[in-house]
Amino acid sequence: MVDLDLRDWDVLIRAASAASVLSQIAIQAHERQLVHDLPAEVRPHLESARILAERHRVVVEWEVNRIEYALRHLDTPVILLKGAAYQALGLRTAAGRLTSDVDVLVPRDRISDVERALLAAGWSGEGLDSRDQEYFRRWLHELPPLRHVRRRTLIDVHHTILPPTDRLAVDPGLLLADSVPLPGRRTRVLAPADLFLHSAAHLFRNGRWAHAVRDLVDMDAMLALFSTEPRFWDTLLTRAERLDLRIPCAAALRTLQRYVGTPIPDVVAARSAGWQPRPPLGSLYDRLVDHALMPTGMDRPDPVCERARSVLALWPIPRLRAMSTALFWTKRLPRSGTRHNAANGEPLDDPLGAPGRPDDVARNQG
Amino acid sequence: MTLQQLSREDVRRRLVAERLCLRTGPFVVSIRTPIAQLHAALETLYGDFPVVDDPPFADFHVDIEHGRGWHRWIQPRASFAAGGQVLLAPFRLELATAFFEWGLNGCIAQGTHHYLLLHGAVVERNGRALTLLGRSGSGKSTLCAALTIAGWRLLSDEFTLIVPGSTEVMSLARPISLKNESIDLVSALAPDASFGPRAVTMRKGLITHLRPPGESVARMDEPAHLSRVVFVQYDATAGVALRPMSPPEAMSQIARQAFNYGIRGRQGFDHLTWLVDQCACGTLTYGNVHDAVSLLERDDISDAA
Repeated sequence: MVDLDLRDWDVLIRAASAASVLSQIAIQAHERQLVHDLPAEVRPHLESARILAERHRVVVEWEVNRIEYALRHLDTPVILLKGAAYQALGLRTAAGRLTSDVDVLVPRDRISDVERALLAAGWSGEGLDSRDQEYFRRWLHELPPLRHVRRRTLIDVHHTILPPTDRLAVDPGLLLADSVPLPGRRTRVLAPADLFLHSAAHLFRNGRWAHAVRDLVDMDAMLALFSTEPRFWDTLLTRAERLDLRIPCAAALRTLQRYVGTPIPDVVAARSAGWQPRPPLGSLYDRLVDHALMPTGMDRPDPVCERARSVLALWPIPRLRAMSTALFWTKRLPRSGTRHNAANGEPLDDPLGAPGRPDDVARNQG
Repeated sequence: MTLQQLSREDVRRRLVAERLCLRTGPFVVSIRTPIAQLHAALETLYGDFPVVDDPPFADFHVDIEHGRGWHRWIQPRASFAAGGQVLLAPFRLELATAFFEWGLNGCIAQGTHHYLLLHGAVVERNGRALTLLGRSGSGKSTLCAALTIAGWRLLSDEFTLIVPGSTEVMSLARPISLKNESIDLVSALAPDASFGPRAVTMRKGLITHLRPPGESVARMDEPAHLSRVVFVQYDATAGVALRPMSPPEAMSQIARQAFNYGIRGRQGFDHLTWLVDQCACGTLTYGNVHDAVSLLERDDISDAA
């Protein structure tokens, strides 16, 4: 890090920010006490990113506490997913991982009880019309996001980890059955192999490829932590088969090997290689991944990379049953996530991102 | 070297083929845009700002592009990207200047948590800074423009950037955004002032930007210390009145006007509780901008308290 010159940093800060890993770099630099050796122009950017990450950590911690409290009377397992789980487990990459919401997994037959309890405790499904609601409930693996009316934080309540449109059918009962309790807490996390498989499925099935680097770094950290347990690799492959997640597992291991240099035992790589798409499709897939992983954030958006990312986001071609309904098409395609899409070219009142809105921040104090 | 010292062709060439890098206070902004309105507007509004030649590092890289797609044949549009990520899109082409300003505001609001960042204008006289806070439409920009015209130094119309643990305020000296009636009002106060292009937006009505005074821009590296915090409320039917505010009340009000008070956590709390004791805080109601300026010029809230 200290060898980089200013021009390198000029590119790195933009690329890292576009890939949502700037805060992780900032935390690493801070923890290794490298900050003072870095150029003066760079330090403020890392300092700003570190402060934001520290705030995210506190918010997630408190939010999990509030969720546990809101669901305390329900006799149901509540499993933290993704960022909140990594933080609870102390995964290396959790430090500085920005999390916009807390994701939890609950048994499908208890999801209405969970929703009711959250609604009673101050969360609300505001801002979504009935079509959005219907879309979520019918075609996604989670409830419409619930926002806490005072803290403005979001929770996504899942009943499984892949949308019902996906051709892979994961049995969420297996995930719940193997989940492990967190010491001193009411919430639980997925078993190590399942945690990795969920991250792989999340990226390689309905992926947000803009965050791909962050997800790959998460998976790399998981493997580094979990593979100290000798039977981990065997369990991983067995679980991938049982959960019907062979394809994303193989894709994740291959991509980690190609790009991150994650050490993966030869036998594991060989066995999972058999799960990959066959040659013409397989090399096309690799090419798409190559383009989708190109760093962005320099100058203007790269059209090839954007196209590769949008193809990969639709890669698991949805099941015909899903494609035959109008609702699927009206909602599935252009869901312009974070873009401020002023409908008729009009400016928004306050074109600043959500975390910066003065009133939101003030409310976050509650 | 300032922007106005470059030839028009040079400015255009940099904006289109390379990047034009301007410095506003602590930030170097690298700009690329093929949009002609913005070329002219940058020359008008940022003429006094220092140009940085091919800097190895820029804080913000912004690209304002023509919109693609069939829409352009009916109504030309544009987009604002920062660091290759689209921040604002699409907007009507004639709003390019306003969106440049808003987009850059967005970059600053999201990326500067190493300062305590308040949503409000700051001006300075005799080394003492006065920040004007208030909601959109409260008349703070109008008052900021009037104070600037009366000889106060402009630090910023949009952001009060405070160095943590201190009263030190950074200057950006960027253009002042004006809306609707305040545009004519300010033109009448300063007949020779320069303005950026005017455009009509659905939500805010007519908007334009006032070129900051050359002296304010030339002195943008000079620090100022915050000594007064005033919550502004324009009321056409009211006379001018300045009421002092207790530190705890000021504290809770300022927290609501801060972009990152919550993000800064404990540090933000400690800083703000200390800051309200260092400053005189109050609310200013005004119906006539001349009266407000003369009141602020002669009155120190601490005296009134």
